[in-house]
Amino acid sequence: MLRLASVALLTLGIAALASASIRPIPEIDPGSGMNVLALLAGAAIVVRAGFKK
Amino acid sequence: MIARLILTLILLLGEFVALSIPVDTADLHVSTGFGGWLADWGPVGARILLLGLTLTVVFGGLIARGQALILRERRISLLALLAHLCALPAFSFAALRLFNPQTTASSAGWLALACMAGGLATVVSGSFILLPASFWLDLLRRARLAPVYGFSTASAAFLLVAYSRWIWKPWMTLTFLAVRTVLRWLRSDIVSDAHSYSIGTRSFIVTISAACSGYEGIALMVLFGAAWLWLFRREFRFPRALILIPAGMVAMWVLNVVRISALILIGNAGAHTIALGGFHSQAGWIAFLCMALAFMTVSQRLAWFAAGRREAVSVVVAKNDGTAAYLVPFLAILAAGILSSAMTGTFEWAYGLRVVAAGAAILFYRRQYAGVSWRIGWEAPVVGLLVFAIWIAAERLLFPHATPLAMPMALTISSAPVRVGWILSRVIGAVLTVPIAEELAFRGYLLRRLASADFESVDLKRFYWIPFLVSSLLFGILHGQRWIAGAIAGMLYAWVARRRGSLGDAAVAHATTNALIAVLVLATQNWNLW
Repeated sequence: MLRLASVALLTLGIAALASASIRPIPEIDPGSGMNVLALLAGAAIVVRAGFKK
Repeated sequence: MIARLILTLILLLGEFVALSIPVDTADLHVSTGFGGWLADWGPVGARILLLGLTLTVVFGGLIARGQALILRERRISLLALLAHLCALPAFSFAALRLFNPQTTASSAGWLALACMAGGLATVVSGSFILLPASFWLDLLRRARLAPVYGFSTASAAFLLVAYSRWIWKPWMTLTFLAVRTVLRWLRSDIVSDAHSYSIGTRSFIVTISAACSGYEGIALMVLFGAAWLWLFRREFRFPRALILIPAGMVAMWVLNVVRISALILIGNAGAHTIALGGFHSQAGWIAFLCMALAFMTVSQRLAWFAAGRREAVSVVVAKNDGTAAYLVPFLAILAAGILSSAMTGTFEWAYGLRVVAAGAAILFYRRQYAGVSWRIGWEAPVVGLLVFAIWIAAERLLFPHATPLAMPMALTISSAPVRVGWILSRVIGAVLTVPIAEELAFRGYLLRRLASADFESVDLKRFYWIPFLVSSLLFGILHGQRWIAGAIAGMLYAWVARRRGSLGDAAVAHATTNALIAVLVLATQNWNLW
């Protein structure tokens, strides 16, 4: 049940994102989306691995 | 199985995006009949098909429970690949012919039919390349209802999308009222009009549109939170961990109210260009990144959310391998880039922030690099020169009609010390901090991490095809529209690093390329390349 709920939530998120992308957002630099994705993925890896030296 | 599903999705989505560049459904001037119907619903249908197929596999896995769907076939299906290589050009040809201003009503119907059949054949054959027929049959046998659940959810999601616009107005009103309350706490000269959603001071007024209501940020938080909890589900205690998702959504909305309030205050202080330029476009990303980081840290560190096996989390957190040392300098450049863009208007004056951030991170972790080989051979500058030649050739080939950009006006009219200082920081960034940070991240970490979880034990001299290609492709993608040249550059830097197992060789090759590009930009005043 929990897993089904997670999938439903994920789908809802995707749907919401798709909805947001229906109309153009001229003020958003398209390149920055890729940088944000890279930053997010990198930060997630570092948080999992630990920050300290 | 997951890797193959993801690769299949990347393939199909990549083709979909690539085809959507030359094909614009708005170019179809036939609004009636089958052609017109396809122009309206074709792109939505394609998305439902892709999402439905993905969800079918996901629900199939959930319904099959303990008996995970096992992929026995290790090879790829050559027949499906061949079919895909025939279907894709046929689909592209039909789509290019259909969505063309010259298409007449008489030919549109047939072309639409060909387009639909070609699109369906492309998706089906593409799905069978890595996930063969035996896998799909196995899935249907074990979870008959998976396609029903998958496609129903996909269709419901898109219906939700289509009918979700009604929420924008009350949502905008709520955001408008919250911004007005915050600003009235801070200032007494706030002017607002609830009908047009205009708000500000006597010298600076903005209109809150649907896009500013915080919808995207909340959607991103739902997506990120669900993905995070799903990925590390064994470490969390449910259902209490699910509370993080609504908490994240509320926090994102509050941050959006703060963002709009700050934008008005920045504009009121006289910095109109910054308020409506960099800050407007970047502050949302910054808010989302901060919230995502908070989400990850809280979920990971607070024992209240942890499942019984807390020690598993502690082991991960306390592992402290060299990951941070390899990634943080590169992440610092990205974060500083977003911050400096938010702080400036149309021109990134604070570029030096990237240099300082990367330099500080490299200095902080300097002892961690003791085990890294920094030896430099003659091949390094030669490879750097080769990449430079490829970069320029690709520029000429792929963008033959690009008009050379002169030095940005903001820089031209600035005083000489400011101009020289900015150019100096740009060159130091390109030649020193960027090559070191990117080589640490892409060749030092990613290339080796894709080969083994214990990436520090992987010798750079060893060669692995998949890590070599994937790390180079991701390196290329980070270079935006120059991704092809970027991917080739990544491969050559990986090759030179492998020669003697030295990251120093890759960094020097990278620095050579960037230095030559900098010389070309400054000598020819063609700022397109920066």
